[in-house]
Amino acid sequence: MTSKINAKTDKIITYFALKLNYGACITLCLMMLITTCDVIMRFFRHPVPGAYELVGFFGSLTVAFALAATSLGRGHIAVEYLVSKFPERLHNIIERLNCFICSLIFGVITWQTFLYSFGLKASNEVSMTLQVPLYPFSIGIALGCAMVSVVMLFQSLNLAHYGLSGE
Amino acid sequence: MSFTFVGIIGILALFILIFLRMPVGFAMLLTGVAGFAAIVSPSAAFSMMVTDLVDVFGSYSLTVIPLFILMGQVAFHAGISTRLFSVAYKWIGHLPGGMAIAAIGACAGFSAICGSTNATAATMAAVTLPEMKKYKYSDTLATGVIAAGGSLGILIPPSVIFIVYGVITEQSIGELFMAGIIPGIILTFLFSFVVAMWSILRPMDAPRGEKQTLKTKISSLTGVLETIVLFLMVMGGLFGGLFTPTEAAGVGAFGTTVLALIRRNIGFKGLLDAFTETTRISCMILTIVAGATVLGHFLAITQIPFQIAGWVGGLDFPSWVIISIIILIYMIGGCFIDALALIMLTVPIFYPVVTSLGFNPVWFGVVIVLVTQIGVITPPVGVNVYVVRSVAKDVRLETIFKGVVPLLFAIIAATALLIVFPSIALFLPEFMAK
Repeated sequence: MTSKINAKTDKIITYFALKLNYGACITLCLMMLITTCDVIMRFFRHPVPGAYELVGFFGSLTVAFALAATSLGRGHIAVEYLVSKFPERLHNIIERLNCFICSLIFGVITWQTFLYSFGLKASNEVSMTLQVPLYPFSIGIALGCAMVSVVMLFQSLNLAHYGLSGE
Repeated sequence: MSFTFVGIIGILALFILIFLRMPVGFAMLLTGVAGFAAIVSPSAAFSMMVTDLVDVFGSYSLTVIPLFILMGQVAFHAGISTRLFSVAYKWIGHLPGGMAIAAIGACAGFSAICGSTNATAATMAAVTLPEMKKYKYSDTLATGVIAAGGSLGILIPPSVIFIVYGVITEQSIGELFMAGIIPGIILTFLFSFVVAMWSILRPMDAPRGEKQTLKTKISSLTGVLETIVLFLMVMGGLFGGLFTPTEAAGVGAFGTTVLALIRRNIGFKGLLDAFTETTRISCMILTIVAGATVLGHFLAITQIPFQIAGWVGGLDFPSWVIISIIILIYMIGGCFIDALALIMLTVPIFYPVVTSLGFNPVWFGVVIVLVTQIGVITPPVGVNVYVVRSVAKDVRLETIFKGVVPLLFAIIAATALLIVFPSIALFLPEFMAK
């Protein structure tokens, strides 16, 4: 029964993390296309307006949307050397504790980034060139961080094991 | 409690977290926020953390990283690495250790379109190891060559490490890229020399390949055309002042994708794999950069980096002794901590020391890259060795580590040459500036 619940949770978490990562792929593709268009159009004296801004915005979404999938696939750099020498039980406890602390950190980041975004919205902050509102992009970052927090929480409960590596 | 004391506690806590396997980026973020909160206030710390994250993730100058990684990933999935190796093999495969030297040449060629050491090692291991096995090369030589050759990925431009170093020290990424070219070529030759010597001394480790006709050799050259075109387009535009680094990377990624699609070397699945792998690697790198930025703000208010810089700068030692100590620290540190994480942790501390001693910052960047190349192939962390092992599953880790030992001397020799003759790195940037 427990293993069935585990498998289901694992599947759901992996599904959402992967979908968000596809979003990161789309924003990455947009970065590439905007940059190339800007360079080509510059030769015809018609650069893409606000290309730098757009590339920066999409860059932030690329990283934020990839955070959960990277965490789920254990893609972040960590020093295994010492912990791998510990007995398995202690190793697991440390892993879970790490995941729980990281989940808390990203919970706080999510909360603070939402507050920051509401501040940007309230003060009508817009970008310099295109004059587009800035808050949707920081909300995108907050969503990415929220997803990491959930992934890490489930990893600390040992429910989301190695979603991506096992796909 | 003095700020310095809080700073020291913070650094200790950081190392404990890192060695307890917390992801390096997250550990730096946590330490930075906690330390800043202890000295200033929790609300100021949270505000600093969010601003840093939003700034780093959305930084235009850092968007160069995902775009260059994408270029390398598309190149790999399109089989450019295979063609590079095939050309190199046809030209020098019949020489002593020819196939291994061809693998080093292919690593150098692939490094010209890929900025990461692990990606280069993984790519070239997948391409060249089965061939070397077929020709009965010893596992020690074959795997050692790929692990060491893959490290060229961060020396020959584009290079993720140069980009990150350039961003944190505010040095021109274009100049750093240029400074890496000649040391990269020298190191390629040194690696080849070591392999040739090895093959002459132990011919059973590297049986000679078949000699190819001149016609075959010449017709094979089409296999390097796309790499040359892409390198010239990207680096030419960058060095010629036509592009910013981000634009060069964007155009490079686009050009590689279009070339691969036109030549039907990549399908939808290959492209999707290239994109997903790029987002994963970029996220990993930029999380470390964001964590290091938050940590940097904490360390700045503790004044520790400036105190260390002042103390070291005031030591009554010749500057070459101090630089040698710094290099030794990088060599030892590189054995335990990933190259990127080590650079993010230490450059803010050592950079002011190095510049106050009058060393050229671009030269120092190249030296650091060379030294971290040692770190990526030495135990216990040696990322490239693990990457090669993940491809060569039947080869023991010890065998690969044994194989990289002779090639380590090549990197040490290149580093020594660079220290004695800084113009090896500085000649090209200075020449281009004229």
